[in-house]
Amino acid sequence: MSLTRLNHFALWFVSGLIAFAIWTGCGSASAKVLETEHGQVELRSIQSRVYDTSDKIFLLHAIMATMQDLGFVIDDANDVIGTVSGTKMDRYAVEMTVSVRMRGESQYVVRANAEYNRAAVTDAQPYQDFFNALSKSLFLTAHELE
Amino acid sequence: MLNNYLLYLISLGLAVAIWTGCGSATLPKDALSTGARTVQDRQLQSRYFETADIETVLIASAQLMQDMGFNLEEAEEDLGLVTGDKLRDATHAGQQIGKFAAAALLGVYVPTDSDQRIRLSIVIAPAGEGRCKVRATFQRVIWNEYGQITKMEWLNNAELYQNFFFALSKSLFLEAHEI
Repeated sequence: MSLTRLNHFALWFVSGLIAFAIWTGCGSASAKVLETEHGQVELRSIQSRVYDTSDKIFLLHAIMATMQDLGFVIDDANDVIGTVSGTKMDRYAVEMTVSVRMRGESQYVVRANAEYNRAAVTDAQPYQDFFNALSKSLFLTAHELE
Repeated sequence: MLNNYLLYLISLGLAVAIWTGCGSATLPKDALSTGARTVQDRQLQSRYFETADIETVLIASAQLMQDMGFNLEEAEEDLGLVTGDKLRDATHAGQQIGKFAAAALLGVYVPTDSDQRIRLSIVIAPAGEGRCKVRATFQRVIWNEYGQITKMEWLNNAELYQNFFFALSKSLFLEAHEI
């Protein structure tokens, strides 16, 4: 095969690859809507902690205060559903929603999910940082989700 | 020769496309952790008021936001939250002069800032007997003439918060006297 033919082949190959990449885009709509690339159990474990308190309002206030400490502007909060959402802008933008749900009679599960650069944050460390800050604010120790 | 050039160009394009992907979710380090400035910022953005009547402080906050031209987005009484935003002109003289100078001297068009959205959330929380704590946080996004975001920032200028809390005290006074 001559060099020119080889180049032609490579050119077609790369162009084909680009066409494929464009065709598949960033994944189909349903894959994006229901994205579950991380196992649901693993993701919940990364994003959740259990706190020994039965005071929902106290917990939601602590979540809002922690988010404000981290530079978030609170966008929305609801004490009945138990959610707080906020946006942080510091040259970049991060959106985060934190929810609380009761577990047993004296515990709450706090779950956070963040979005950055048009994708869900699935690394464990940022969530660990958030729960460390929340624990300080609550003077409570967070338990891993079992 | 041309094919080679084209091939490299396409490969480079592909590499960039793969590299940028469909958005990366690696947060900047310490994005969700407290830092050296946390306590300082908290003090700057918070004030204590000698009242346990959170509802009145919420109403005074909402009134003040309207005074400042904010559109209220959300209010949650039980959690003491009120949020809002406003869209304003972001042009400023320095950039305009720079733009005309660049056009006249270099023949290039430099887009300048055009619009900004300023967001504010106020959280009022009980703070012991007969007191409450008000914390306000401002942020803004600026776009240029092409609609591209040029700046996203958290506003933590001391004077801004001093003026804001001075105005809130006044609003509380007006509220207390039903003015």
